[in-house]
Amino acid sequence: MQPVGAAAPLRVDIAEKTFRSAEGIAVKALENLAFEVRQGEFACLLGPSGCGKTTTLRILLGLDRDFTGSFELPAGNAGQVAAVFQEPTLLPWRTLEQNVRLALPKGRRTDNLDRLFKALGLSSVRSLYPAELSLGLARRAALARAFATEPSVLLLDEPFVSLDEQTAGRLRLLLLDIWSARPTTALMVTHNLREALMLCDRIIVLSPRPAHVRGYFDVRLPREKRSPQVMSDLERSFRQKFPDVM
Amino acid sequence: MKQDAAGQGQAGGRQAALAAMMPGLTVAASLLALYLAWSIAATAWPSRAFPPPAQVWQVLLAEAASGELAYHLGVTLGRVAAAFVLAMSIGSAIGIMLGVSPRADRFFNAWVILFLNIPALVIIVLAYIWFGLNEAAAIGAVAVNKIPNVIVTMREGARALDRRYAEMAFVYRFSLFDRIRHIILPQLQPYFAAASRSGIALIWKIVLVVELLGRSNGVGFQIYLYFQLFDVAAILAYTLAFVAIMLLIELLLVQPFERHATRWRGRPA
Repeated sequence: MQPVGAAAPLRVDIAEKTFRSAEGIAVKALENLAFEVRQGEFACLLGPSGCGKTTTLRILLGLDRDFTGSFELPAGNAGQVAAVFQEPTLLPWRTLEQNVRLALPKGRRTDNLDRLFKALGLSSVRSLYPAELSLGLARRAALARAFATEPSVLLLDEPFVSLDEQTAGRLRLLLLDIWSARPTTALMVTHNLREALMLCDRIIVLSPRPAHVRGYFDVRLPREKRSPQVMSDLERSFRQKFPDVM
Repeated sequence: MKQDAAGQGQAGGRQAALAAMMPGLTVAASLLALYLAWSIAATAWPSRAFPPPAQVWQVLLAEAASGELAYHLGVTLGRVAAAFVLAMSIGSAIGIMLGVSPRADRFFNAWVILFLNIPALVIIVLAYIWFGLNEAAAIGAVAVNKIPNVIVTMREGARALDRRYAEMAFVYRFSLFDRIRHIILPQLQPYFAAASRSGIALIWKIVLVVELLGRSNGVGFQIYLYFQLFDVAAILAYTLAFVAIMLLIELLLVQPFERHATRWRGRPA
């Protein structure tokens, strides 16, 4: 079941990425990091804090060009990539709705977004400014912005970090809802194993710095079958396969 | 119980109305105190060099009736506006460039400091010598005096631009126009407001000097004229008239614009 306009999957092959501190000390963040995300697949990059997950996403977004290696993004939909950053990164001087619409290409600025806003529970707050939103609502707005562009690849950088567990759980369900309505090749960075098990088709497990792929963990179960009981089983088998991760 | 509550509500309403009028009343009382102090002092030490407010008011009315006041105020206001627009646009462009490019900043910083410290009088005199006693030299000299201040303020603003918004705009492929309009200008707005606030006040003072030295109209020229006639009442009349106009511009133009530009800050969650 591949969506229309199926194209090459997301392919990453980064030979090396090194940061140089102000004192000139070199820190190797990534080394021989290679993985693929298949068309329409929701993949997670899971690894310890500070292992270079966010760096990987920044490279894929084109925000960091100082690395050796290569990557390929799907070409469909004019290669549109959308991102949900660690912080909502909404423009404080524009309303929620303006924030979402500004991310759209010129010709689509006036599209009807009622369904998207409704699905994310944002209908009643779309004319508010970001300062008037709670963090949970602001994160939902950031999701709305990413999905409104109907991207061919969606990159998410710990989109639910620093939310209380209840809100984060609700937002994960919302994310699954809108993602299922239009399955998009997605890569999410997280250090939360349960979050990864709940959302992903495949978990790409990263080593500590310098990051490279330690292995894959496929979750073949349909998401509606991932009950708390099943999740505990998944967690146990994950820990058997990767005993020293997390 | 109900009546009590209503009564309290009314009293509360009256108090709220009073509280809302307090700032206005305070300003009025303060101006009245200044007027009284001036009147008393002028009566206590009567002198041609220190006229009472009533006499200044009469001169003001006479000058207004003859059309002189409106003409000279208009000429000066025109020069202030021209110099302001010139200084703000050139200063902002240079300031943003220096704020964004550290290399350009390292090179031009010495120039900025140099121009910041050249006395206004020197620039005015040199402008008249090099370019002649004309309108362009006058307005240009005023603008050059103000430009370094604008550069310094706008450079600070450009340095403080938040990279996260620029990265968001890059990922979502904002056009250059959208980037400037929705990302950069809103972040620079407070710095622009600060530069224009201090700018208007500084510019109109320098415009008077320019008029005094090389123009044959405007408030500065009139003040020079009445200085030679030793007519303090007329000097004060022109000064107060112009201050009043600048106050009106602040209240009717600058403040409403600022409220509109910063409406998103108003109501925190």
